[in-house]
Amino acid sequence: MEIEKVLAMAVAAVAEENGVEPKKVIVHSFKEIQKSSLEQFIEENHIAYHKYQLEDLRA
Amino acid sequence: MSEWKDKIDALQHRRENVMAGGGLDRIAKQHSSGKLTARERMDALFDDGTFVEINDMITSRATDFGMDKKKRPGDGVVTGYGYIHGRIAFASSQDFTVGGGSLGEAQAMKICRAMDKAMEMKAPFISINDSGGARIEEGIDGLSGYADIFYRNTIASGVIPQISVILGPCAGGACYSPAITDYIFMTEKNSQMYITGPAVVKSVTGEVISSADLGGAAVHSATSGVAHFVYPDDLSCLNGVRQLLGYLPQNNEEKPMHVEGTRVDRSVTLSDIVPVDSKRPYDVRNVINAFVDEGSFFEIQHDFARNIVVGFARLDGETIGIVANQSQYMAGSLEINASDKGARFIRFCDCFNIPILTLVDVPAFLPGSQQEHGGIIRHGAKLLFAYSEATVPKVGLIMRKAYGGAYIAMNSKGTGADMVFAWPISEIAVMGAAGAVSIIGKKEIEKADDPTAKKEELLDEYNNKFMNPYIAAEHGYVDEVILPEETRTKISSAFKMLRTKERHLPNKKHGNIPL
Repeated sequence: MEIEKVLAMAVAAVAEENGVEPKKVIVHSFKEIQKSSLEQFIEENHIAYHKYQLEDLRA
Repeated sequence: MSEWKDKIDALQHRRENVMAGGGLDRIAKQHSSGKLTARERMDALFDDGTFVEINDMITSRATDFGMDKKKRPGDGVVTGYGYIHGRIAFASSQDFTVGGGSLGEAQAMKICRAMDKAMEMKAPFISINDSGGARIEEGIDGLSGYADIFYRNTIASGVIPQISVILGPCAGGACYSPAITDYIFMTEKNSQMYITGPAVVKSVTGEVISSADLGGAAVHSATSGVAHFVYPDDLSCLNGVRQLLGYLPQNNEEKPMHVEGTRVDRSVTLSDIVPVDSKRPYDVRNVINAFVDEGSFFEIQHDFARNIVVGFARLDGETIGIVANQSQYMAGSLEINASDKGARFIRFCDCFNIPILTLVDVPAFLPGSQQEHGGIIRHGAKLLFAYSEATVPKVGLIMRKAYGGAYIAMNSKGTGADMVFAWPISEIAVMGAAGAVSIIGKKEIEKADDPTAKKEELLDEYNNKFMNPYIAAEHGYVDEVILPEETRTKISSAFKMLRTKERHLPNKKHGNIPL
């Protein structure tokens, strides 16, 4: 995905979370986070993997 | 500003050094043998992006045998915390790429600190083992580190769930930490556990045996009963740990998670699954799966003592522990290993507020000199002790046979069962008809003009009188005789009624279970 689109989505998410207009959000800097070693291992070895995840309805 | 930059660069350099573990070559070797690195394992264990490493720069203070020249960043173990299903948990993960994951004073201290935090936070502790054993260069200090871990394992037992994951070698005294914890996970090819390895075995006894045959996953899951779960590889194994934790509470003062599941009641199929003829076997897991929440049954020790099935399931989204006789193996009779397996599971459930459901179809304790000389009296007593001692809600269903002492040992009313149901085909008696008639009718049969006819007459009388659930129901040993199709409804209702159960044991330090 193009970096501009990713940034626009991030700005929209931050704006919604803080209840402000997206136009008022100023991006000073951003950092692209690399895939983790585990993610790389899974991808390189073509492993079909889904993390087992549950939700506690009592919480 | 440049002063800051220098300091920050120095920190980044240190961090990179720690994260590099034993170096690219060793990491590649770890990967090529189908194993993940210590940190990758943490990422797989915890919810995505939640793992936080602590004490990453701790290293050994040892100087003997050149240890001062080979400082190991992190000292061969990664420790920290994160979240599993949104709930906090602590873990240690030995790093085989750093000094073979060997345990010295500093590594032991790191592990103990994480364990102490788990206890303070009352959260589960998961120990991932992949280590060559004690670090010989550190002498008694490393060895003593094991004692510190064993002590904490013991004190934490029954307070927080403790899970051991063996993803490489675990040899010598190191085995006793997993052995004290609640559950042991292994992988099919890369896990080994033994007190003395093949080389020492050969030198001491002359026996030649491979590492896998001595202490591999197959041996420990099927023969020794040391391991509770076996998975093909690291990723599936750590997912298994996540699955198990989904059934457990955070500690002994909390209740397990409530999980939304598919509540399909297939109790109506139970009369097709269980034959009326008590000599015909069936798979009791099909019985369980017919009435628990869809797909929720999670079996423990699948390959060990297969004559008894234990595991967790959910009923209306709530965790229950299930103990069931398996008629497919040894006709479901109880013997030494089944008694140990059942008793330990019951005690775990009782520690962690998990209600117990017992499904009974048991002909007897297995007879024979092998069992008697092996101590079936001592081992069978564990089952009685565990049921009697457990104060969690205890519900039983007598499906078919419930004979003699084995019936009493399987959550009978007298040992504290809260609710006991029975199907109309159940046979609750001191023993089966043939055995009973051969004893109580012996003289009558011998005196009879037609012994065969007399025997048949006595068998009919015994069958009609005792081989049903109604005398037990009349005398209060069974609370209700139910139809198979009512199974889920009745069991679910009983557990719901028992949610607020309070039963306290007399004040004592601890009971003295026969070990």
